[in-house]
This record gives sequence, C-alpha cells and structure tokens, in this order.
Amino acid sequence: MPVITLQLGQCGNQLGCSFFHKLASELSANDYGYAAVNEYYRAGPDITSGIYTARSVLIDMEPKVVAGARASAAASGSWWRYSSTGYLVMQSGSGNNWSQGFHGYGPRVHDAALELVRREVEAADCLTGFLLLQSMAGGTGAGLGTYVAQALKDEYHAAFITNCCVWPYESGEVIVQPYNTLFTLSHLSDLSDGIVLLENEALHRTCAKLMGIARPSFTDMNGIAARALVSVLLPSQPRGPHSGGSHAPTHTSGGSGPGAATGSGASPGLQLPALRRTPGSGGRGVGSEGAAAAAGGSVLGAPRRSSASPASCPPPSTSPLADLVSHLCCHPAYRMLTLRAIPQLPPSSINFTTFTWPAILKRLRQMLVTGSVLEEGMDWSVTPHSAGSGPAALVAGPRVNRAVANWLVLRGQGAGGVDVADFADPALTAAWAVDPLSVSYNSHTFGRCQLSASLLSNDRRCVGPIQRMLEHAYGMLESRAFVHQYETYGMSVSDFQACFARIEDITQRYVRL
Amino acid sequence: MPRELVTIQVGQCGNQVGCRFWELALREHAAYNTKGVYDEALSSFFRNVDTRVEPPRNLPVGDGRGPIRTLKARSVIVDMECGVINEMLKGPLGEVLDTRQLVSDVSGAGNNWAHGHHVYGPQYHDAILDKIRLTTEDCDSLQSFMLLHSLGGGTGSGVGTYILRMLADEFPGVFRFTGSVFPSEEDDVVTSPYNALLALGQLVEHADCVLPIENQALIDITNRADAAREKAAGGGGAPGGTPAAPTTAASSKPFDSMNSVAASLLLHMTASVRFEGPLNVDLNDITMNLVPYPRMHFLLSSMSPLLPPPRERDVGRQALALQPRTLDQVFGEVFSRDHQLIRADPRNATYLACGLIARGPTATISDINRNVARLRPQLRMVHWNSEGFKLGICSTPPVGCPFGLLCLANNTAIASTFTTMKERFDKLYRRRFYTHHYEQYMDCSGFESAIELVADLTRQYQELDGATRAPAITRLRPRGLSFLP
Repeated sequence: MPVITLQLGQCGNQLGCSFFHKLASELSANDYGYAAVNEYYRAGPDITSGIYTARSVLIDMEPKVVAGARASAAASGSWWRYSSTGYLVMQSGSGNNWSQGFHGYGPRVHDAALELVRREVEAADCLTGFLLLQSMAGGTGAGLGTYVAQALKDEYHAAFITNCCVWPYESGEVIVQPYNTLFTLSHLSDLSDGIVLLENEALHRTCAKLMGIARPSFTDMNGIAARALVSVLLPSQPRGPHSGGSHAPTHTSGGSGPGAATGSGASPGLQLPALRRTPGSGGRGVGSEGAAAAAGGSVLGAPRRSSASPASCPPPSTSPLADLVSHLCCHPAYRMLTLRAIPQLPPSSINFTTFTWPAILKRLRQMLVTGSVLEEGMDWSVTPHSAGSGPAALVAGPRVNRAVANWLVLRGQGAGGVDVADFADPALTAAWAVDPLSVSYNSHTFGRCQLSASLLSNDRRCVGPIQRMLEHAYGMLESRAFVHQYETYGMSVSDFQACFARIEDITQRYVRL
Repeated sequence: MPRELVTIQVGQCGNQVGCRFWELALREHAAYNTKGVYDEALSSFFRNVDTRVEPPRNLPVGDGRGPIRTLKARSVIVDMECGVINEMLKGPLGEVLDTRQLVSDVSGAGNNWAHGHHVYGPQYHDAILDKIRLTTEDCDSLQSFMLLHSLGGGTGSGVGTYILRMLADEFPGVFRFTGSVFPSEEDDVVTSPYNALLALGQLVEHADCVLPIENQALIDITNRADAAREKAAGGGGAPGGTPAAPTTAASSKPFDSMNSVAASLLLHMTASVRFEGPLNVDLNDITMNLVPYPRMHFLLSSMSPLLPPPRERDVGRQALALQPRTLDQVFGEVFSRDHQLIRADPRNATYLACGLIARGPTATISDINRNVARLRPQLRMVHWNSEGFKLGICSTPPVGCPFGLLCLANNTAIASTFTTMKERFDKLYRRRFYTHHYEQYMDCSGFESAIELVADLTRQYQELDGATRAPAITRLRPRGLSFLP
C-alpha cells in the first residue's frame, strides 16, 4: 500500500535523500517482498531497465538542494532514482520566515504542488497516506510544509498524514526558530495524524558519543535519523509481547506459537485489532535464514526478490505507517512521537559486538522510562514507579517518562519469540491508554546488526524541548522582536498568542499524562 | 534557474570598490569553474553574451553546461565625473563592464550631498531608471540590489541615496543592500560630516540592510597586514633567497587593498547564494534573522581572512604562514576588534543578532556549534536572543584559503559610530559653516529631518544596549484546560 513522501525545504530534501538511500540498501540486503518495495518505490518509467522511481515529491523554494538530491540519487550503482518531473523549485527562498512560506508561497505553489502529488497518487494503485519530511526552524520546510500538509488534508481527507519534523539545535541555528517551530507545531497538531520529532541535538550527541564521529556533519546526522526511520517503516509482523509471540503469559512458550492476530486474547487490553491482515501459516520470519546482510557499499543490486519456492513464501507485509499511526495516535490531542532505535554503534564495532536480546531490550526499556533517546548516559535508578511520574509532576520535562502508546519493532534472529512483557508494564503508559503496547518483528537483520530493536512511542519526551523553545518565544514576543517580518505577510500579534496558547495546551496535556 | 544580484556603483569610491569587486569575483569563479561553463553560480553576477550577433544576445543558463562566450557584469555604473570610470573601462575590466549600463556626467557633484540628491538625482532620474530596468529585465529572478557608495562625498552619498529611494519606489519587492563607506576622521573632504549624516538619514528610511564600512578601519587593517608581512618577509628573506618584495608589489594603487576588503565582504555574503552547502543562507535569510526591528538594519561585519591571500611569489612562504591555520582560530579572530570593518568594539556592546557564514569543505555544523559555545560567554546578548545565532555553511572556500568565516552582527556598538558622526556634524552645524552650499538646493528642514531620524535610531540602539536581563513574562493560559488551576 504505497506511501507518498514529500521532501520539503533543505533539511527535508537532505533527510529524504538519506532515507531513500538507507531504505534501498536494506531492501537490497534482504528480501522483504514486493509489497515492501512497492510501498516507497514504483517500477521506473522504463520497466525493463530495473530502475525504480521513488514515490517522492521534492519541494524547495531555492533550486540547489533539490538538484543535489536528484544528482545523488542518480549516482551510479543505485537502483532507484527520483522522478524526473516530480519536483518543484522556486528561486528566492523563504528567508527563514514562516509566514512567507505559509502565507506567501503557499497559495502560489498550491496548484503546482498538488498536481505533482496527484501524479504520484495516480501512479500508485491505492494510497495509504503521506509522509512529510521537513524541518521546523526554517521558512520552507516549516511554513510551506505546513501549508502543503493543510492542502493535502483538504484534498485527500481519507489518507493519513505523518510528519517527520526536525527540531533544531537549542543552541540556535536560526534566530527566529522559536517562532517558526511553534507555529509549525501548533498548526500540525491539528492537521497531522502523527508527528515524529527528530531532535538535532540528540542526533548530534548520538553521532559524537556513540558513533565515534568527532565532528558530526549534517550528513552523518541524517544517516542516523534515516536509519531509525527505516527501522520502523520496513515491514514486520505483529506478535504478542510474551515469549513465543503469544499475547497471554501462557506456559507453552514453544517458538512455533503463531503470532497471529487471532490470538487467544487473555488480556483484552493487548488484543490487536483486526486491522492487520493475518499472516500466512508460520508467523515466523521468511524461510531464507542466514540472510546475512550484504556489505552496504555503494553498489547496490536490485531489491531482493524471493525465489518462488513455496516453503519460503514471504508473508504479506503490513503497511507499518498506517498501522502505527492508527495505534499510537488514537487521541487527537496526543500526536507527538519519539523514535528510539538501537543499537547505535559505529560500523567498525559491529563485528566485535555480541548482541543479546536481554541486553538490548533492557536498554531500550530504560530509554523509554527515562525519556532518553541516547543509548547511554541514562539514569538507571529511575523506574516507572519513581516519584515524579504521576500527573502531579508539573515541572518542565518530568523526570520519568510516560506514554500514551508504544510500538516495539524487533529485528533479527529469534525476534519472533523473545519475551518483551516488561514493555507491557502498565506503569509505563497512561491509565486510560487504549492500546498501550504493540509489538511486531521481522527475522531479517537490519543494518548489519544481528539484533536490533526500535521503539516508537507517543510519550512526553517532547515536553522539555518545547517548553524551552516556548520560553524563548515569549521573551521575543514580549519585546516584539522580529514581529514586523511576520506582519509583512499578514500575521499579527494575536496569531502569535493563539499559537502559544495552543502549544501550552499540548504540553500541559502531556505533562499531566 | 539563477538568482541574480544587480550591483549599482555610484561615485568615485563606489566605483573603485566595485571595480575591485568584479576583479575578485572573476578570480573566485575562475578558480571554481574550471571547465569554462556558464553555470548558475556565474549567472548571479554575470550575463553570458553572444557578441557575434548584432544586437548582442543574452544566452540563458539552460542546463548550466553551455560555454562562456563573453561575460558582462550585471551592474549599473553611475558617476558624475568621468575620470574614474574611464580609467576602469580602459583597464582589463573594460570587457566585463558594459558601457550600455553607464550614466555619467562631466562636472561632478562638488562634494555636496544636496547637489547630488536634489539636482543630479532628478536630472538623471530617467536615464538611471532606464539602465536599471534594462539590467533587471535581463534577470530571470532578481533577488537584490547592492548599492556601493561612500557617504562622505557628493555623488556617492547624494545620487546614491536618491537611487535608493527610487529603487524603493520602483522595485519594492527586491531587497536593497548597501555597502556604505563611512568617512574617516581625517577625511580630506571638509563637508563630509554633512554629507554623511544627510545620507544616513536616507539609509535609515529606504535601505533594507546597510553594511557600514569605515575607511579608518580599513586603513588600520591594511597597515597591520603590511606590517606583519614586512616583518615576516624581512625575517625570512635571507635564507630562502626570496627577496623581500615591496609591499605594494601586489597592488599598484594605494586604495587597492582597502577596496579588496570591502569587496571580499560582498563575495562572502553572497557565497551561499552562488555555491552549494549543507546549510544555505540566502540574502533574505539575512534580512529576516538579523533585523529585529524595521529601522535597525545596520550590520557590523567582520571576516577572516580579511584580505585575499597574497600570492606566494610576492611575499614568500613565511608571510603566507600568517594565514589562519585552524577554523577555531578564525572564529576567535572574527569576534575581535581588529577584524571589524568599522571602528567599534562589539564585545563591549550588546549583540541583538549575529549571523555566521562559514566557508570551506571541512566546516561542519559541529565545528560552528563548538566555537559558538566557546565564545558565547564572552559576548553580551540581548535578553530576548540570548542563545540565537544564524548559521550558514557553504562548501566552497574563499580563493586561496581552506576555509573562511563571515560574521554579520546587529550590535549596539553602531550607536557609538552614529554618535561620533553626529558630533562631527554638530561642530560644523552649530555655526552653520558651509550650509549655504546646501541651502542652494534644499531647505534647512532637510538637515532637521536627517538629524531627527539619526537621533531616533541612535536612541533605539542605546536603549537596547545592556538589556541583557529579561523582564518577567506572563504566560498564556492553555485554552483547552482553562478549568484547571
């Protein structure tokens, strides 16, 4: 079920490029089935050449970045390209001005942008939804991106819209970033079905501390972000949280327990709804074990297609994006998602690391409990029952993290059977959570790591950064600094105040989880 | 499709800086455009003209791989006396500068702002507007105008500010940047304080962004560079066998190095528009981020390296070793007093906004962040922008250096520059010396309005100086949960 990606602004285009490269390398390394490839790529204009076209629309208000992204995709050795006509550029940039992007360029590019999207939608046999990649601090990604999201919502109200938004360095990349990020957030919280927040600061520290890169560049950070995104968006089958893939903590924990949706649901809260297609017989991974990942490198063969032997028939892949959005963002007021993907290792260390499920899962759980997105430096003394976890914690950035819902994706050998019941601890999620934990797995290895796990949670980690940005924004608005730049395009001080009130709304709800 | 900049050079100083600017621009593009193709980077400053046909035809950029035929600068040249321009056209730049874009007269404006603004301005209004329109029609999507002039004379300041007003009326959507050379204290023009203040009043009202450049600062910079070079050349001359080259070998005219500094400023500022990088900064990004209030658009600039590096054969290897070695060193220099293009110490005043554009393939965001974190405690930032810097990274370094850095700061130190100008003005105006020259062409309300504008602006800056503590803020109640305490 295809997903159309829109890459908006410089950051969105650079991140999107990394995303498609990473996706392509994973699809080359392992066989995930035709549907997985079809979700993000379509068979190119020339079917015989084996070249695929990414289902992506590139939009920017200045031409250099889009040209660079398209050139890097066309570099020799990769089996995918960007569509030769699927991009929209203008000349003069949005000037880091949210209102110029939203009120200025928005109406001007409305028709052209929707036309490009319509062409991609028509090339897809059925549309699941849209994935928008953008930054929040600039003018195009933030302002025009929000406008495009609104236009898509109006035009395709049945399709979901997921935003992957990059939160800027708190030390400042753009001086007016408090205004731009908060405007974007307040508008998207109404329009979007799920907002994955990627923090530049966190990505930077991951690169510096964990990946051993002394001076991370944007390319490195995009690589980490792309890896995390791809790790949740590749196909995976649902399963229960208990060992053997069952939903109930039964004693028969044979590895052959089916992870089907028709499980004997003992605890109704963990019952997976029938949205999922039931996998074929054998909820295990694909028969082709030993899917040792190919050495990534720059020469990627075509995406793997299974040899059609009946024993190793790949299970139908689910559409992770649609499912995760509907599971995680069930309440309209809670749409902020945090993405954690481990292990975060430098490539040179992978061969010297021993991977075990208990180690990975323990770290990931503690990351969830403390709200950290880094694999190390966590406070191990914090538990879900620690003080500062309940609704009474009104400090900015509560110490203990709580979620509305979690989605755990396990990849690697034995992913189908390992016990993750720790994640089903009710103290980790809000009391009223409808569907607190969904687990899915795939036996293919991901990114050369034998075992890897990713967690997408609708939790309150976002509160800290948002509160800090809001403080700055209040300070600026109080002195009316830079306000005249936004007033040129028709915004007024009351728009600022309405936006800030909405942001207070969002953060208060999360704090009181 | 390119984004073009049109340069308007007015007056003797403006034309000399402009001349140097074109030389340096050609040098930079020649260094990076090894295949001789007319690409988008070139098209922001130059047109590609096929002179084989009559009338000469402009060739579009197309796919960016067409060959260069003849390059013509996108510039309009205005001077009320023809000496400087004629010399320019006779020299190697004669081919690049188009005589169609030239407006000149014979007699000069007599170092009188009023003569330039109220007489020559209207007299040549149509001619100048015509030339500008011609130039803009050659552009696919014009991004901004760059006005190069000085404030101390008659043409540059008078006609220049008249043109500025004209651009504001005729092309309201296009940014107006000015590179304005402020007169130094030992200026040889007696009436320069009048000219400067009257022109400043116009800049406050009609420019989008002003980059003040003080002659005295440029003199100090070039003197320091010469002294350092002599010291190094004198020390390393004997063993190496390289004769200590005379310091003026690289530049035959006395103002050349000063003009080079001013010209380099423009090159660095537009680097991210022309070349690629991980974090692009457009000219409208600059105006958006660095101008917090409409009239406070005066940006202090500093950069490293200041001068285009001398060639090794001129100065020897030892002197070349004086260039900054590491990116961190460059950051430290850029915030120091010696590298500012006006005589003010920004560290003693308050920063309202600061933009940093790094150039070079090895510059990454983490380098910039690290250095900003290192230097920020030493800077006084206004309370509503205590963290913020505008960052940009361009992959192409300046010619001859592995990396470069430009810092554009909106800093309250400019208030002291304005105050000095006002004092010099007052010395003359108190006794109404020379005002009769001006009153021939304008009435004295012209003086009064300029005084008021400048005083207003100075006061605005002074109010923000030292405003580093935030007042108490009332937060808004969340709308959805208003019943909660």
